[in-house]
Amino acid sequence: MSTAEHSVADKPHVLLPCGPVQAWPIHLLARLIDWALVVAAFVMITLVFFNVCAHAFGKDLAETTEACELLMVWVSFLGGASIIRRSGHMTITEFIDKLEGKSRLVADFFVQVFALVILAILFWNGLIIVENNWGNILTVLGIPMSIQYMPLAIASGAGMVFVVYDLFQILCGKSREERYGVDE
Amino acid sequence: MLTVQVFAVFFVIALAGIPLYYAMIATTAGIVYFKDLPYQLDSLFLNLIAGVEPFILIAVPLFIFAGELLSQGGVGKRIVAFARVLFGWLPGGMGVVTIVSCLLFGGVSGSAIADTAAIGSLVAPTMKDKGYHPDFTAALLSVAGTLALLMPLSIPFLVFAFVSGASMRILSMSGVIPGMICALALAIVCVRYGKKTGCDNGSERASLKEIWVVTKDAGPALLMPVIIVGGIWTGTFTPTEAAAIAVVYGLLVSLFLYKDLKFRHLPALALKAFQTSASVLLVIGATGVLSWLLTAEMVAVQLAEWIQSLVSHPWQFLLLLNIVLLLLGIFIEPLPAMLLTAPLFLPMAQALGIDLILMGVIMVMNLSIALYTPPVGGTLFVAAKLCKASIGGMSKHIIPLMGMNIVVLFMTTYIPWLSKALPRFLFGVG
Repeated sequence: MSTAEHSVADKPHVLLPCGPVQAWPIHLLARLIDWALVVAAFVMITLVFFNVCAHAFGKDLAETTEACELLMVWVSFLGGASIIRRSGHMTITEFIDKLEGKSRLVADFFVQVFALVILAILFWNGLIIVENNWGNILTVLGIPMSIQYMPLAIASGAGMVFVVYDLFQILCGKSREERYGVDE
Repeated sequence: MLTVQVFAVFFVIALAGIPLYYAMIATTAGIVYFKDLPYQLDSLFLNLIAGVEPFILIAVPLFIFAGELLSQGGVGKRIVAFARVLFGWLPGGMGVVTIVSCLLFGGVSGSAIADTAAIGSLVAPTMKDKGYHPDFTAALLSVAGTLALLMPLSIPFLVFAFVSGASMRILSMSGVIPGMICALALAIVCVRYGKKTGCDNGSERASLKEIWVVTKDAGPALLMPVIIVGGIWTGTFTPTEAAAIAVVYGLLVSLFLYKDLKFRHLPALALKAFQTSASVLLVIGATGVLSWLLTAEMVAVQLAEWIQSLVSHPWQFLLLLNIVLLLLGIFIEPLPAMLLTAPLFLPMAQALGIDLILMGVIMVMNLSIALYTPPVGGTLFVAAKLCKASIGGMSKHIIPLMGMNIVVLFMTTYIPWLSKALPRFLFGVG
């Protein structure tokens, strides 16, 4: 995975790294997900720290705990969608990395088809979970549980878009370096 | 039978290069579908969501983010300067400085890869100038970086605490003594290397004034683990709250005190930290789905009974555990390996009366060795890249360092006092 060796201080004008070069609709969706992830992350950090401060005054705010758990689901799944585009999910690559050229492209194609099927299953079941839980309400926040369960479907749907685009690129004969950049 | 099927399906899919998250979901969904088990997939996938939502897990992205802030915020160079004035005079001094820096930086980052990368980029050029062979430097960095995993803010400890239900407060202290023994063992190898090759006979001892100046500069960075550990120790913070304080402290130190970071750098660092944590958390969630299926189908119980028929004494089980984890670690990264094996080994360990805390330390020590076991490993690759070393060349230098760590691993396994002494001293339990 990523390491600390690339200093952000070396790139003073870039607020968020753009990731691999891709068609503009894909790029736009990716930027939307990345920014949503960053905003949710900072809100979550603020809420947890706010709760620490409340503890100092002998108060425990159940609202912040429940809101943080809700945000945790969102940042986990949005983060998962964000790294699909950068091929960043934990993978045992020791064997597949031995393949080169066309055989690697073929292997990548089958891996992505497999990923697409799994994401479709998650997307479909995510929609069922959302549909079934509109009536169930979060205890403290008083909002439907479906809002907490929504990111499974949303992130899996976004992931499917990234995977389909990657499959298209593979069919165009683009290597991993061309699709994800040399650092990925 | 189901046990064999589950593991066979999972390993075939995972070894084919399918991301572990998908491999676990596919194994669960496939077993349910093809064996016609009476479970709805949407109900099973609720466990995926439930697996990532617990409040304690919020500490994972927050500690990773705090580590990123400090890695990029100038803490590393101050820690290296601090270690250098204290230990640079020893033969093989720069090697010892590397180990001490990794140990101290590990106390604030909790991540082996971040530790290796941050300290490695600072010490590798100096070690090269002194005449250390790049293969030795890379080997040392790949091993020393993993000391972070035994320090109090270790992310694998946090994940183990979540998976096993062990107390993070006790677990966070239980790796400190084994970690320090590992550091001492590695330092002996470095001193011997320095003397044998004559490349580093040590610099002049620093004066008290020099030590004071450098300590003052590194003080805010060194204070962070003290605040966090102190807060957890006194029961003032939960691990999640400690993580939020670590982030705020990291922001204050990096933005306002050292001024090595600017506000505009924060979104990129947050994105990187939360992407990294998402890759871990989704595997945790998917493990939750698979574990639910294994529990519902009584697989863990059957496996525990089978292992118990093979091993009757705790020492035999612990030996088996070490061998399995060391072998597994050659192929799989530490966190997924822990997530895969913990649900299976924990019931057996409990049946044999083995302490959860000891299990956690043993698992983390084993899996930290996996990070630098050739031919593949996270810190191995980072160190090789930083030092421009070859994996083959590094291997011969890794053997004595790894040997030392395996000796400490077996000492920790069979002398429980080593992992229990500090929690017992601090909390009166363990």
